[in-house]
Amino acid sequence: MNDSIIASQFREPVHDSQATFRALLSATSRPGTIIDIPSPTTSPAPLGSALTAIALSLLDDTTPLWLDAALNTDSVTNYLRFHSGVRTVSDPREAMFGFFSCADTLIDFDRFNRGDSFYPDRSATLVVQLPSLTGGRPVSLSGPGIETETSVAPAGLPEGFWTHWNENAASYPVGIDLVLADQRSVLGLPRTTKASIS
Amino acid sequence: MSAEIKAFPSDDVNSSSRARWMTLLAEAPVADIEHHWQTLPHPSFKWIRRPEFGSAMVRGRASGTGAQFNLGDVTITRCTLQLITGEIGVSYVMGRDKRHAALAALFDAMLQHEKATSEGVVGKCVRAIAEQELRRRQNIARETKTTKVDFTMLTRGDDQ
Amino acid sequence: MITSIKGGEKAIDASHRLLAKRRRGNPAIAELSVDQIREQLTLAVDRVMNEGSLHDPTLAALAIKQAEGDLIEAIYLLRAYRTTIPRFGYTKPLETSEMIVRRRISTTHKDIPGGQFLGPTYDYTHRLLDFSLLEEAEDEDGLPVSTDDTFEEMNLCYGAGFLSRTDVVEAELPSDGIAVADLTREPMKFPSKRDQRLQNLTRGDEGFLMALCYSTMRGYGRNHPYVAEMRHGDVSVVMEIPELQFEVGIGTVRVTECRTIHMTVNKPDTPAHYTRGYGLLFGHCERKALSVAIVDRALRGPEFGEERRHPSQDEEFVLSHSDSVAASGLVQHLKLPHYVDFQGELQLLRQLRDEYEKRAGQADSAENENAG
Repeated sequence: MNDSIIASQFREPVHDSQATFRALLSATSRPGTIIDIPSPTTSPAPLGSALTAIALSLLDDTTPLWLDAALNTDSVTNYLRFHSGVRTVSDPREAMFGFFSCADTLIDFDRFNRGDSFYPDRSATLVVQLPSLTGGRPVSLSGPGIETETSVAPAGLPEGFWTHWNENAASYPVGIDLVLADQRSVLGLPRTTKASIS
Repeated sequence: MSAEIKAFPSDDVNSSSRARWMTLLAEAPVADIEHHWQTLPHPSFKWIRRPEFGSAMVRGRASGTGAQFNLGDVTITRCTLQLITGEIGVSYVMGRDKRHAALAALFDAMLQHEKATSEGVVGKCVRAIAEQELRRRQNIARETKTTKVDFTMLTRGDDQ
Repeated sequence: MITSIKGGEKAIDASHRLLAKRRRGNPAIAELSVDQIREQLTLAVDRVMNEGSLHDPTLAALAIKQAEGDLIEAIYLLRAYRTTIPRFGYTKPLETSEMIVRRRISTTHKDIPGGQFLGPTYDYTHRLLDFSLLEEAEDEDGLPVSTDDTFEEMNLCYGAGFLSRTDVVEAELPSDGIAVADLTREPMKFPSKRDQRLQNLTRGDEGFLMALCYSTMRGYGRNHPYVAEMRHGDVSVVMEIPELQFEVGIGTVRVTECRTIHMTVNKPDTPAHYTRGYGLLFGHCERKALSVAIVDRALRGPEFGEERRHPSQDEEFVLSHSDSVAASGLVQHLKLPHYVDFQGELQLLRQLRDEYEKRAGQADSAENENAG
């Protein structure tokens, strides 16, 4: 055990993780809406505050976690193991959650479990840290939870992302769900949401 | 868990592994630990994880030796703390007694500190707790032995 | 279709108050404490723990107090509580061979190595009410303690003599490294595996399992049981601490373990030999441990080429109906309003009666015509 474990989690673990869960629920049921989430008192760099909050709320010993190369450090894995009991896996297909430090390597969703027609709910949820949820190239979203359409402009998504996202959405009911996050807030992209680039 | 095999060795605290004293501190009655805690100087510490309740799923083996299966959960209290001198104490204790978990983690940290400084007061307490625990187990065995069955064969009839 | 009906909130509140009043009983009598239940009704506490699938004597005692001694309700309360706490992990398998034994018997070998110890048992009591318990007892002089002051380790290993030969008795070997099914996370699937069955039976209702066990002995699937060993005592619970990554004992748990052997002759390619049944439960509960072991063996029939002919051998029948919480839920839901279902059925009944009468009328008039 080293010092990184000492990084503390939420100030009010029960209340704050419930508030985070509520925020994620709002974000995925109202895709495209930017929702603030509680911040833990500390987070193990390079895992940002929002990703740390999501990890503390959603992960436990039954949710295998895949971390991208930048996040897969001792300080992050020790912190998460101590506070959530989560087990990390190196094979993306075994992961129930995938955490990304940036969107550069996100493109290939097929590395993760997309569920099957009997159990589409067994697909992976990917959580991606972005520099900002605004200021990027605007795109229009539609689908369940969006009355007509809504515009979002997350920054830091790679070229071709939205085309690939629409392929994922087209494979409904199977497919990946995505949560985009900056330091303070989240934006949900469930597999039912379609994008049109203007 | 036969009485002697896994109990804390009574004569050699410093060579004992941390796992052994953590086991003893979890298995001994909290009253015994409390009693010795009162005789010691209380170090300053901060919480890393305050005592919290949870469970662990207990496993068994078919016929005691075969394939594993899940038997049922036990409640657990766990906590983590750090002494002002830097040592980190951890405890996982069956049941829902936050005081027991806190004392076990404190002793764990204090024993690590003592090992580093080679003093002996905490080790002495733990040795005493181990002896009490050993006696408790021996007493269970003694009670059980009073019910040992001595079979006497009675032969009836006449074979000759 | 489910149509919900609202109302009755006031009545429910008042009902809860009446329940609390009845639970307290005559206020002139001292209130029962949870500590008293835990220390003095230990066998009820044990049953609630093993069917509630959570070892915590204080909480089990609380559940018994809250449920006014209705053990099935108490089991439900404990199961519900378990779902509210996080699980920190899975323990190492209990090393029951290293038990601090409080009782240990064998019905196959008089001279089982290490000896037989009756411990505390009702087996040899006379089943006469002890009227002295009506009075609060004075503290007794204490237990008889062995006069032998030199402490000597009890060495109670498994198996003995002829039965330790693995060609005579099925060897149960560890098969570690494969995932262990957990019914608290994944529901039962058929055909079932042994780990699923043993967990299901451990949580199962004692009465149901005892009745099934009884049925096997009365001709409904006889499986020739002998109790090779029954032991009861304390075992260390060891788990790997997630943040330390080494194994630590976290406490001791009192368990009952029953190992049965059953003569098995059904496979033409194997000589007659003994196969095993197993029961391992929290607390002291030999009746249930026996029932679990014998039903476990009955359900292993397909492994040994046995024909499935009786209820105890039918895994879907046994495993789908063993859980008292599930059973109680479905049975007791019959007390909930079914006003719409009933009106629907009543309509059907009226229709059927109309049709019946119409047919009867036609038959009558046909008869009259014939007669006329």
